[in-house]
Amino acid sequence: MKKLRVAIASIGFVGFVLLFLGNEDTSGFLAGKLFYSQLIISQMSIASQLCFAAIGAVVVLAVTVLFGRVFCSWLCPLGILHDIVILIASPFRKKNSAAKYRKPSIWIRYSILAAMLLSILTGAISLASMLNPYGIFGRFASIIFKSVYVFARNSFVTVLEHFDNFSLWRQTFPLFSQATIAFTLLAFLAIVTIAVWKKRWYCNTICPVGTLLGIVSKISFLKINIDSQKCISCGKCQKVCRSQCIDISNYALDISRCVVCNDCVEICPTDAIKYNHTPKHKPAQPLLGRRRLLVGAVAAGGAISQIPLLIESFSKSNTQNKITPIMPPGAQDASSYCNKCIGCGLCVSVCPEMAIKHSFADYGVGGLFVPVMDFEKGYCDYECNLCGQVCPTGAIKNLPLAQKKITRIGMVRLMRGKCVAYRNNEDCGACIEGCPTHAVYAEERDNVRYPVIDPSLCIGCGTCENMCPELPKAIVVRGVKEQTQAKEPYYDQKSDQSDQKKNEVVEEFPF
Amino acid sequence: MDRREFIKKSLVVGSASIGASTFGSQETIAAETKKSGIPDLVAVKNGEPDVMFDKAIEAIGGMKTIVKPDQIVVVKPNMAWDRPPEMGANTNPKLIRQVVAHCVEAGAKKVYVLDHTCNNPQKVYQNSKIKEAAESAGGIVVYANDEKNYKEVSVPKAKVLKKVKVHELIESCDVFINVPVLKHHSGAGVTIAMKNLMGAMWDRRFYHQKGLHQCIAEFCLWRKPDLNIVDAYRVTIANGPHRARPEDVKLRKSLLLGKDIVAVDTAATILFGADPEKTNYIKIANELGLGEMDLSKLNIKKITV
Repeated sequence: MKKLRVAIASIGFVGFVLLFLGNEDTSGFLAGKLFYSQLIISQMSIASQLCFAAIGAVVVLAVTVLFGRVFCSWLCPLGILHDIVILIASPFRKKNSAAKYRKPSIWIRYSILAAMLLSILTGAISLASMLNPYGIFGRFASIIFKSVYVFARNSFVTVLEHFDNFSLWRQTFPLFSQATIAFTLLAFLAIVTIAVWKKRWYCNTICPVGTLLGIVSKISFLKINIDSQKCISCGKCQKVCRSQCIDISNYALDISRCVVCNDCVEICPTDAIKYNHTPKHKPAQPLLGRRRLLVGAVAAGGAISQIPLLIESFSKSNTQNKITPIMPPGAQDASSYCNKCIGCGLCVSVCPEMAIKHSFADYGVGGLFVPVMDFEKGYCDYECNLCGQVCPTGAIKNLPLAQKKITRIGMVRLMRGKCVAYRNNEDCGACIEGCPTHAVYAEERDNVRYPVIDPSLCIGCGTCENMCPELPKAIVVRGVKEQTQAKEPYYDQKSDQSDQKKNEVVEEFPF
Repeated sequence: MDRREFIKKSLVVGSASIGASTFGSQETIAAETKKSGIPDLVAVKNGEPDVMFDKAIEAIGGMKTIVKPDQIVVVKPNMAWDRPPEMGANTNPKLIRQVVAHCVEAGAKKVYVLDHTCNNPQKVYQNSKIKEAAESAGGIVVYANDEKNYKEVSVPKAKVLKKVKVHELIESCDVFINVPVLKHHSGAGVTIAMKNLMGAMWDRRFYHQKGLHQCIAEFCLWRKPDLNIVDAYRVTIANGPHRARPEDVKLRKSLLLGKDIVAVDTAATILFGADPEKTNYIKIANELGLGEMDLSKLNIKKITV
């Protein structure tokens, strides 16, 4: 069992890392495969729209009913990350530390779960995005792992160049705001520290998915059971338990925290611990009165879930004339985008042009970590809709490429006073050249091509802004409140003139 | 060329062109100039890109006159846009393959193929089919979208482009071969050989900001390509440089080849149907003495396949 878990977990973890670091093809391929397994994403999908990923939620719940919390140690990338840290730290861990039974922190667990569920129901998703395990892992992967990967890759490219090998190209570092990277680094350090000291404490105290599955696992068909007849109280299982949920003095195991890693089964010298079905399982210890707990947790959770909304309503009054951020194509409008986005940053990671950036609170407290477009380093490639393809929650809708090409994510503005062409009466044409829809086009006077704008054609891809040589930019894209449809791109009809129509081979060279 | 020789030559060419206009036949020029040996400009039509190149390079005495054994060669196609070959936004892959093959045959130590792309380099190299083509002929395709690989050089006698960051391989190579595609350009009017060199350097924004045409011309003060080969097999006549519709791309089945970049650009502009006098960078380059804009002074060889 343990070998099987390690195998599946390794494959899954490598898959998730590749999802964030891989190229277009691998990420697009993996996105479809892996997201079925992610409970939080599936919840989101149920809440927002019925799609295939919702099947994942049903499957994960069904699996938990049958086998216990296998999700947490077999499929959850954050959980597997914990296990990796635990594995690395184990030789350095002092004997007996982190080896004792720890009581569950019931109030924290259920309040957070209640808050999370309420926030999903009420649409204030930022709490869910902060706490769901896949989202957290996503930010680690898209910010920390990706940066390390790009650094390593680029160094490798430099080495290859010395050997006259040019088969690899350098990649650009992901874009993020300082607050996001600070927050993510802190979270990473915190989780690693917790994993070293208290192993799976986070999964069994903070993680709302862990708590939810913990409740379900209480009725699971297969469980880890301790046979008090065979047990010699050697305490090996208690030491090895990553959830610290075995209380050997009472021959008890808190099943709601057990992630079914099967380590205790393997290590038990007398076969007293078994992963099997026993009908007469009694709870490890009486919990608080169920009703009291339910009411209390929902009340506390309700209060927690409203905090972001409160802060937002305060902050809103101060930031009335804030610039609307530009959302990736398919996000539709800010509220539906923020409601569905869990801030995993997969779109940031896969964007081939590095045009999507990790934001911190550009959308207010209700939209923490929700990515925004940034045209400083790149622009939204006309021929690409990868962000929509990989988005696990449908926050960025998977628009067909043809529709994405006419989806307006922003609106262009030209400031002629700053523009080189207008100032110096000289060709520049950088914006004209780049524009994929002819929203910026050339008007020729005295052999100089001046940029002119047709807003009805603009899709806000930011190519013009990115290519503009001026600083500050003479042509910029501003966000729109709602993504609408632009007119089909315009094409110069010059080639339809009669003398140019034919495909004709040159009869005589004109020189 | 000293003064006396110049006068002599221009007299010959001048009289020849008078003869040509009198008799309305261009063969006269060709016949007249054949005497002076290697043509300054070769124009080929009616063939496939590779076949036309074979004819053109043969006309100047083969690739061995350009590439000596054990030399390092850089071939600079126009491969800037994520478009397939049939859209005419990038140089024809068949032509690149043939150019690389000739360089290898001439004994080149290494033949690098690179461009500072506008779109994502990996997609461009792949979808333009140039990577595949160049590698099949023994070329080494180099990704060139990182500033680290660009080296600053100073441009002698330049007014605006006093310093420019050039790709290190182009900076150090023995032979530099420029293989542009002829197409319409919404920013510069028409793009050919000189404009293609914007993919040999790093900071294109500087060009746009400080004077596009002046910088394009002044780059050649630093280094002129040793050979220019213009792909006019498929010519984008509108909505260039990269967003042409299929109907904007015309089959012209032509190719120009020459060492004089100004002459090549002038001839290609006329072939495109534009006025070289109104294409500022050609005029500026002519004034800087980088080449000859007056085609009547040149020995042009025309070949029909």
